[in-house]
Amino acid sequence: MPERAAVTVRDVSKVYRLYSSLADQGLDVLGLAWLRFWRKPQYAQHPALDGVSLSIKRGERVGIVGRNGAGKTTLLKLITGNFEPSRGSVEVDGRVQALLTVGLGFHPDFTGYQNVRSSLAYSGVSGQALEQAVQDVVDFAELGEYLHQPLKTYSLGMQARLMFAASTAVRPDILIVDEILGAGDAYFSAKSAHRMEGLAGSGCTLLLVSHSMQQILQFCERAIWLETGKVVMDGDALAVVKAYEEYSQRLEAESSRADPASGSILANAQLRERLLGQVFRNSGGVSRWAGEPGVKIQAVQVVDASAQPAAVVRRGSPMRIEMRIVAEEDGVFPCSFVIVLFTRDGRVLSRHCSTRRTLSMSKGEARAVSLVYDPLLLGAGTYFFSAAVYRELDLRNLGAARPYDLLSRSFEFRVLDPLADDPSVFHHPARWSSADIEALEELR
Amino acid sequence: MTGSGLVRTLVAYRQILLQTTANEVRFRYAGSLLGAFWLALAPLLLMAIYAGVYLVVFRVRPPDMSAEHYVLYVLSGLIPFMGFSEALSAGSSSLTLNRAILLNTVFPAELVPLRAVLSSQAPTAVGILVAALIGVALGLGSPALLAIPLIWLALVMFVSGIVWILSLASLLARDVSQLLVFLNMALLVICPIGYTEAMVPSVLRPLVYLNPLSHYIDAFHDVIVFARWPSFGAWAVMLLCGAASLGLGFRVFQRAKRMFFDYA
Repeated sequence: MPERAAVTVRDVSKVYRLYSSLADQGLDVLGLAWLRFWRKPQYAQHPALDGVSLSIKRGERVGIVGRNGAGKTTLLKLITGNFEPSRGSVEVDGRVQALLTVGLGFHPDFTGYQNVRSSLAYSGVSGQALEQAVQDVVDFAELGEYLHQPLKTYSLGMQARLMFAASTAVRPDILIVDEILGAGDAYFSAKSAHRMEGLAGSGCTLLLVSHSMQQILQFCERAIWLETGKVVMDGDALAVVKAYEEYSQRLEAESSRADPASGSILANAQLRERLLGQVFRNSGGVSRWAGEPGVKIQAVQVVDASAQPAAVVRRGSPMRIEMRIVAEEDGVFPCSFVIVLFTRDGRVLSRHCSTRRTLSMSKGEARAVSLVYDPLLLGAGTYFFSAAVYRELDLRNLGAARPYDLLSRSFEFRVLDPLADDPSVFHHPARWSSADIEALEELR
Repeated sequence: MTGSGLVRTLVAYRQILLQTTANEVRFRYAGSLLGAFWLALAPLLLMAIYAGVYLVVFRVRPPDMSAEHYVLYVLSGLIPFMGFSEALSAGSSSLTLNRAILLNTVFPAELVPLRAVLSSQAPTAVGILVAALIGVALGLGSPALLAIPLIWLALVMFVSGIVWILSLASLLARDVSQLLVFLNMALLVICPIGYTEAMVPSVLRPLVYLNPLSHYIDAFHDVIVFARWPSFGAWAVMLLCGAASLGLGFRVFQRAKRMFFDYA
């Protein structure tokens, strides 16, 4: 039996009419444009969404990525049900909580505590559940005595904390989030992320719009990439994020190269099509960013203790990542090699940059370099890595780095731990010590 | 069909509606020293001003009324009028002021203007109570006072329907709230608040009584000042206008809202 979908979007388009005057808008919306029969209402059509279809299953956690103006927020608005698509239909099954705006029901003259209650009134909880939610917000926000002061006396960070806590205190069936994470200092950002994880993991369906690919990977297993109102890719979060990152990077590379006189490169539909074509031709695991001519990466593989290519390695044994590069032309090439390891949820685990070497190669000649882990100290799990060769690489000024070739998050390996249920990500070398050795002996 | 939709919405969301209405009322007085005490103070101050203006400055008074009866007459007409005009202006700007709620999915948009109307009725409730108590103190108490809740309900229904339509209209053009300022002023003049029916020249009488609001105000006069039930005709006008406005407004709002929200 097929699972019931939480959100079904069928062939939805949304066209905004941008009128040249308020009078044109008013008359046209009311259907009274004929009152001014001597002129037609003037408006430009702006298609925010164009033929979007998707279905989101109950409990699925979906990230939506895309550049500004790609239609992400419009899509979320349509799912909230208060806005009408120009064409197509949107069906939602379940109670939706939208975090499109925070601070609903807040008033600057209310105390923090009153504001929490006023805000939670919108969520429709009452009685015991309300008291629990209020307590939860109070615990989370950590405002102490300030809780009984008017909101207007708070710093912006404190306000943001309270608003975030209040808007995430209820457990809806479907949660829609538009870029609200990461308010406050580092401590609070981490705490917010943890709270979001708890929400996302509570079995609700999550729709997250974010420009942070790390957040998408952390919270979502599926991602949808919107570009000028169309779905260009829909699938496994990592695959979509990789393709989108590659596309963004190529777009950036093109625009830095482009002649400023030729107008906005972002508005150039032809260029976009070409870049999208490149991204999808490459797809199939490897996501190759644009680079300078010179050398290219030909092959990358993980090699285990027995010097065999392997997908699974053991903690404590040696491991090597071998990168083969090939010259595209005769020449002398300054090269820095880089491997970046990522955890499964997109966090950078470690970055390994080689010193710069100068290689003299003839066209078609290949060289191999290896990054050696001996022994491998990573804990059990799946890891991804990027491999790159740079012409210029200054770690203090990454903006000026110039890659020959960069394969982003394109490779993975799995680590088995001899201790099956050790939760460590990393087994850091460290030792116990005591000034009083005898005491330590006794301790044993 | 339409009516059942409204009732269903009201029943399903009664709790959120009541809670957020209560908060809305608290918003009004948040940060003020006297707080909710203003609810009682406002109608009394208002009465003092109008009594001063009409009795001392203009020196108008119907021949068959004593000074204190006349002040009560003004007060009991003014309070429902203020209730109407506050509901009108608060309700009409409710959607433009609460855009964020349209992005929230838990609170139905229909209830946003309705909530503004309801929360604007808090001072009216206290004001009516004050007026009725003064009437009783003057020896004008009668069983007719029991009609107050129904008259008031009809008035709230009447204004809610208008507000549903105006709140959408003001999403398109903010001119609505500008116009309402003058409309309220004009209504203040053509409603029988400072004068009685007998004082209106017969030529102008249709102008005053074609306006449905006049009938609601006279009904309050009837029960509070004259200790009599409103006439059958007045009841018919009030209930019909109330029901028609409510039904029409809700229907228009439901059909047109999603078209208008794009312009919020």
